[in-house]
Amino acid sequence: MALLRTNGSGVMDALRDVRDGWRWRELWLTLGWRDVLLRHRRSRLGPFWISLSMAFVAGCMGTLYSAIMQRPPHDYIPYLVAGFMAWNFTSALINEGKDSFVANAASMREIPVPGTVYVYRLLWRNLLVFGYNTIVYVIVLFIFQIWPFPALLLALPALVLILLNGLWAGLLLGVVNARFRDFGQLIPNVMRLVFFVTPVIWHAESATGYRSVFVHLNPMYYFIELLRAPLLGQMPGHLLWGVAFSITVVGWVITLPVYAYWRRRIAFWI
Amino acid sequence: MALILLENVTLDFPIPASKVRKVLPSGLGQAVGGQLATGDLGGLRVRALENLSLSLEPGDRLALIGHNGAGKSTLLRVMAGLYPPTQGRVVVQGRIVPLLNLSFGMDMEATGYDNIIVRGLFLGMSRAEIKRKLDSIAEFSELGEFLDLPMRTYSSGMRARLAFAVSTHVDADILLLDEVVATGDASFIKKANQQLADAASQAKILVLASHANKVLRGFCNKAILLEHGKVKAFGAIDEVLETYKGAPAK
Repeated sequence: MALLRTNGSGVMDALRDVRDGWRWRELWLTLGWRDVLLRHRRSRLGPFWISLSMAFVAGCMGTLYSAIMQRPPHDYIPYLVAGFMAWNFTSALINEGKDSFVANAASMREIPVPGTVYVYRLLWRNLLVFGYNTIVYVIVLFIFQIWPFPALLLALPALVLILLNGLWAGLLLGVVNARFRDFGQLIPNVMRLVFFVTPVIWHAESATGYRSVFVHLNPMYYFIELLRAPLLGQMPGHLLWGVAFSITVVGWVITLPVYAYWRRRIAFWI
Repeated sequence: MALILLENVTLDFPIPASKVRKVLPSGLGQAVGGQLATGDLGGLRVRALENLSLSLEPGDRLALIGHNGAGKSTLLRVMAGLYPPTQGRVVVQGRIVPLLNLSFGMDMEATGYDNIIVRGLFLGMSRAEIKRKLDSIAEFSELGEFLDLPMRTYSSGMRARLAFAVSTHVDADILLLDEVVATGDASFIKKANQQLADAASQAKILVLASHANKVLRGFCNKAILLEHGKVKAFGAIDEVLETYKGAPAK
């Protein structure tokens, strides 16, 4: 039974949306997988272009920047690859999260499926892209003889934590962008800047003195490092887990009432 | 148990960042569309439905009649749960299958078979269910080997066949249809009507918006006449169609 109102559905309704969306997984697993294939349609290599472009980053940027940053290549290239993988994954959840509803306007006007389906779709799609990148990561580990176990096992909870954040980010940014489209123009601009002030191609300890605020007050840093450290065989510190976990809680606390209040209006805005 | 219950439903569309260029001289009312008013967000809002009450039970076959913009499609979308009402209450029970737009969910680059799966999943079928019905859907569409080709090679009639085939293979409690049998050649229209009749006889509630009186008479037993989002008449199909015919198009 479904009772409909425009405004102010309860927080429980919003949570139910999260659960119901999960039940539609056959749909979003299919859609997400097709999204990946679609981007590389009619090309011979298909989604392996994702791996190939990561290989270019490793080969070209790795060799050049290891000189610029004055780090040995066997140290710098794995750091760069792991960092790029974590950055591409995390930033895509934000950049694509803002479009989670706008990009699905056609289906939201036709078929009554929970809005969370579209967020699950983009999480799954980016997880697949991450998977294609791991091919390069494994090759790099092999070349530079790095044995990342047992710390690598912590990459799994790190991924889960990032996905939990991607879920709220997709709902919150998606709903705000559906109403205020300028917001959607702003996000890619901000993210481009954030890339340069986040330690992805440089090391966190290079930001000395007061400059360390770019690292320590930068939420992206915590998620990137949380995933990158285990990929390189290092244990992420307690502070990283603590901050990332707190951001998750705060994000959900903000998102649930906003999404609950506005979710029914999305159909009118898109 | 299938049920649709609408109580005093009013639906306003907010249209942010819009304004009317000039005020029309009074007395020159518009013939089509909903009612315009100034909305709370500064822009305009369109009142698409006003104070509409309705209850449908199993066995009801409702025809939606009215001019362009009278609110027929909007009402279907309210019933489908796509548009929540601004005021009033909507209660819907049962598995709803909306067939509002035949081109929806169709990916031109994907093959016909792929599109059957995606559209089927969107309509709430499981993969297993789609697999089970795949042959029947393929057969109904009469597309044969074209189902292995990308959809961009299809004509619009062929696309409609496929979309229609998938949608009518869902076991629905409530079937919502919006002018769906307009495309396709004569033999397909005949077949589609037959299939629709089958699907409709299985569905417990059918709501159909159309301008084709013959189609409406063939499928429906009740009708509702909408004008500017308000109910003008409600009752048995023949009476309401008479009222509609008799009413001057203002």
